[in-house]
Amino acid sequence: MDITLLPPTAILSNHSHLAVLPSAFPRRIRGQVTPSGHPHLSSAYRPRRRSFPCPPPPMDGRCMVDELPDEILVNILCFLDWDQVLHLRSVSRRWSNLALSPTLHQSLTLLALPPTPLPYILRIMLQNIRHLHLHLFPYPTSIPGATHPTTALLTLLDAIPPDQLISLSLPFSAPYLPGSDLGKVLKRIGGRLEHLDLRGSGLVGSKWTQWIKWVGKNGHGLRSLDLSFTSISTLPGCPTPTSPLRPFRNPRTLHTALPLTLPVGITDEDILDIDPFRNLRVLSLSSCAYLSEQVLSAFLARLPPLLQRLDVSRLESITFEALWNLRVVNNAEAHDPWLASSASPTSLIDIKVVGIDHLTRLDIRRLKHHWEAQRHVCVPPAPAPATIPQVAWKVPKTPPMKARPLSPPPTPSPPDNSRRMSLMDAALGGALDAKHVPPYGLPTPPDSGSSSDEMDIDDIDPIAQLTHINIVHSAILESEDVDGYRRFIGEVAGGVVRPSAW
Amino acid sequence: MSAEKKDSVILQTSDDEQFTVEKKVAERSAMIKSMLEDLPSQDSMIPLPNVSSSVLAKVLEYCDHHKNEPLPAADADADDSRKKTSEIGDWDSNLSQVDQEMLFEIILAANYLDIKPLLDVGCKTVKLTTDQSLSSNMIKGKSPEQIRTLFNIQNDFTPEEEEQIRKENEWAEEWVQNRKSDGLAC
Repeated sequence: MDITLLPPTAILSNHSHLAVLPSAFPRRIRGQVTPSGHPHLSSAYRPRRRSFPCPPPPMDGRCMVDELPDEILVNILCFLDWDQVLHLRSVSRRWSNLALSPTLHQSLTLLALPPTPLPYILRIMLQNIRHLHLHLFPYPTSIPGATHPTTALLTLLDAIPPDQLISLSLPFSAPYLPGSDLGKVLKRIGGRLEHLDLRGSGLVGSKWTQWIKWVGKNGHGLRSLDLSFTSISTLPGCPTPTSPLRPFRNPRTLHTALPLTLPVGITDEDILDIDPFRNLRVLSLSSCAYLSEQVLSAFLARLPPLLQRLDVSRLESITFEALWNLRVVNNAEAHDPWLASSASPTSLIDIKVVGIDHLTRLDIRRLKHHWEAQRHVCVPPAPAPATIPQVAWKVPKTPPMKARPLSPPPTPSPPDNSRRMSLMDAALGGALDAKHVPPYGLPTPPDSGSSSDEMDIDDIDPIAQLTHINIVHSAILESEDVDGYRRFIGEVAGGVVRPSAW
Repeated sequence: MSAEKKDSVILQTSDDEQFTVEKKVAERSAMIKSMLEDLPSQDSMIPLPNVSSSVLAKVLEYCDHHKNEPLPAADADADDSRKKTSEIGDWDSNLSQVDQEMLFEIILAANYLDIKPLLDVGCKTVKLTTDQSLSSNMIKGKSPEQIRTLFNIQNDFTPEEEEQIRKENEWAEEWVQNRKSDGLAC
């Protein structure tokens, strides 16, 4: 049976695993107009209400709506789509005024470009716009007598007051909006942007790192940025691909060196500017085929400080070493036990490395082990018992537990080490298996598969919270050697594999 | 005796009727909750001059049904999520069974008593009735007339003004219809 012919609900009920794929269905769009009058697809998810019983109006002809204060009436209108609200303008004078009240038109989703010159109503609506979503994929539908899509789109964006938008999505706009025009527009209207979706937009090369500094400059800074499917060749703070890059030394010197000395290719003018990624929490770089190995390595070694989710899927140029050197701890000198208190884990909790063929499952496991081991230095060290002499570890005395502290209970040093290892092993145990890695964006299920007899589940929680990094990947090969590959094929095929058949 | 007093509140409506309700139920209303915090504990009679007894009975019925749910967080961020779900709970759809006068009285009372979820349910009920007559008749251009009869609204436009608004809306109508005839979902 071809599941593409089924309605989405049927697919969801039969193939529930599809529901967890973020890309399986288009993003839910509010205020979108479909033939049913409901937002797109949302009607498929919920049982359809056939008829809604209307409460009858009062018999004496009184108008109850007129007794409602304005703010409640606006509250009611908030639940309607914008084109329905516009229709209600012709009901009465009061409704006509309320239908254009600023709070109603803060977010707008357009599936087609409006005619040029812009209609009067649309221009009023754009005065108060905060969230604008233009889903014109694959190409703007032609309206009779319409101008070229680029002109129409630029006219629309020009009508937005400067530095007002908070979120903007212009997915797959590359065919009709060149990157240079996009830059000019964003410089003007992007001063307060926090969410920017530029999937498949016309960004090319390295110029965009110049104007991205203007985006979010007057506000809190960008919180989420989607650059997938673009042709960018560099990232802010990274050397342009043509300039030489210093050779990598060991990861430790890299960590300490980078914040102090600037990478080659950054000019003085750039230093004066604020970091465009200072507030960035979510970044997607998937399928940016022009990002080179050097750029990615430099970027991963000094990730934006607050980044929580990173998507580097289908970036074939990313190397295992680059991922190995990913910054997971904020103060590199934390390797020094004396300064361990200043170390803090970075915000990164989720990394997506789907579709990178050269990463094997073994690699993923090693990466996870490495990253989480690095973060273990951030776990506050157990306070050393003052009175215990050197030999006391032979008779470990467990101190009475009062309120449960954030750190593991104090134990003498040799048992401490073994304990640490066991915690790591436990963390590696169940959660690492590819089957158990939760889908992107979902919280990790409690690590029930781990088996360690000497450990309290209460003890691991704060530590796991500090150190945990979720890796979403599609690696299927256990390792790159022939035996491992054959063992894997044997597992999949369910057959018996003899050790040296070849 | 004292424990009993602590756990219940007396609400006095505009028509001088008194309702004795559990404190937990009454505290669904943010207004009553803040009043109870200010009042001395002995004197727990609260006058509600804007609410009649029949309306208060309905409101308390709602509060009683939802008394075990967590109170909604009072922040602006919640706005977006509550608008997205225009679905009404099974019990809450009872609200559409009442006549319009009662429905709007309940909305006003919910606004006065500051019971946000109930206000939302009321608004959604009105929205759904409006929605229905809009979605079925929008294309034919009959909807304003329908809405007027639905809510007994007086048309206070002059014909010229009505014509002008119709002209201003024309592009949207054409535009939306154009989209619909394309049959493209996204």
